[in-house]
Amino acid sequence: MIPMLELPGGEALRVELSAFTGPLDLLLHLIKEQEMDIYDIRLEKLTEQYLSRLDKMREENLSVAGEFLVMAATLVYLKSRSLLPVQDRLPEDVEDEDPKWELIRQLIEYRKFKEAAGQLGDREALHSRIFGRTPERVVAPVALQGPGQVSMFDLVWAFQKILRNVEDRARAGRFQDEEFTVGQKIEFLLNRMTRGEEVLFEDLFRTASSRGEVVVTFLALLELIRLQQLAAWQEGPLMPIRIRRAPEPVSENLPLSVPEEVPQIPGEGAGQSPDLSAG
Amino acid sequence: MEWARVLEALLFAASEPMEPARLTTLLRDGPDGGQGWPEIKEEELREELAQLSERLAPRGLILREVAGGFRIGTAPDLSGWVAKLKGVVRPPRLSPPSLETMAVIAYRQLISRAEIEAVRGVDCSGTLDTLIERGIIRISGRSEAPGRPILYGTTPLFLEHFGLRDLDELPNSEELRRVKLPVPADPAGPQQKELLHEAVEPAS
Repeated sequence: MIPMLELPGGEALRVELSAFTGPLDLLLHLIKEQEMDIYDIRLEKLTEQYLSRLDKMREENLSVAGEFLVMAATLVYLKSRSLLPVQDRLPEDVEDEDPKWELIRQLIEYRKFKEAAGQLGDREALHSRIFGRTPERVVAPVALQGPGQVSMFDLVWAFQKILRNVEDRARAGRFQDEEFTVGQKIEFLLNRMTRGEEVLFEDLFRTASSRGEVVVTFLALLELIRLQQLAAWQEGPLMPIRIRRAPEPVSENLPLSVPEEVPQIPGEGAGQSPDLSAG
Repeated sequence: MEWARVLEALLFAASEPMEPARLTTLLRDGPDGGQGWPEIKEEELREELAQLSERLAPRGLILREVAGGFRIGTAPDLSGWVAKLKGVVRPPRLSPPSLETMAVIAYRQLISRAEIEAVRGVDCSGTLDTLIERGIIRISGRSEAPGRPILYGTTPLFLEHFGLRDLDELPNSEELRRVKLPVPADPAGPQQKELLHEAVEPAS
């Protein structure tokens, strides 16, 4: 009996086995745990262990990815096959016939790449801690407008940078994707900034923990800029983008126009760029 | 040696690994309207690079040979400070599933998704998307097999990400390139592979 094949109806299949990258990984783990020789695996024991592991996952209300179930079926098939007295099981003779050897070969090959992945991971651990100079941004002609104005390209570029960072963050903590609407995020942005307040573009995304949330926040920001509730400006090309909330309530029916007057911060020169990563 | 200063400046200002040949050319040619050092040989350059590396060792910078060139970077033990400056919450590391997909591609490129999945035993579309988005793999060709599946290969950024000089520096590369791979259930195995980009190794 294979109880784990009966999944709760309608539940999406999802890998929750963060410890294992797939069924082969789980099998290797069990083989090691049971101190088996990979060339001489005891199918009965292995199948039993594998199934009980899946069962346990199900008891903990973790859904099991389809690939794990396919492997369960394969193991049960191999086990039942091995119980049939069809042939003498000399490995050399039946290598092509016996699907058990196919599995063993697959495990051995997989193990090599898994080890290689581990070594790559070690290298990455070291080299991800080395920072090099990043390419200077190519200034598109569009971006060369009057002082203070932010082009769509600037915004999108800044946005992409945020997206990249949030990916790292999301990976670090395995955040659950929450659903956000643009409406919610408009409210969030308006609550985040008091009238006349000014913040760095990046700061608006600090709390976002998923790509989806960043995208929705950006859409909300664009909408508010369109409605002239917020304005984006920068001291000059390549300078940090700042978002400022309109000091007075504005009618939503104002024609779309780029603000002519640039907010000035006293004593600010081109050389004194505010720190992009403050905070 | 005067040109050692120039070398240091070039490496500092570069935002990509600098190949020795390119550095040599720059040093020989000199600035526009100026005088270079036409007699510099690549061995001398490499020697100077080694010395520069030594000079940097006790300081906050290091010189690495990656992706076929030389590149100055910040010392690994200072990553916390630099990450904060750059607004990186955590060094951008790949997840274990992505690393596995990465390893299969690195050793067996060019390779189709079905072939990768035959090795890993799981669906790899998500990890492939991640790796492409990170710019460390790319679509490098199409197989001649039925359905003409897309083939994946590494980019120069892959070498840099993992601090590798070239693909031969991959650990255990001899064996892993030879290992016979499981045949994908979908018979889209590699027969004749057609290159879209000729450069799988960094362009020189």
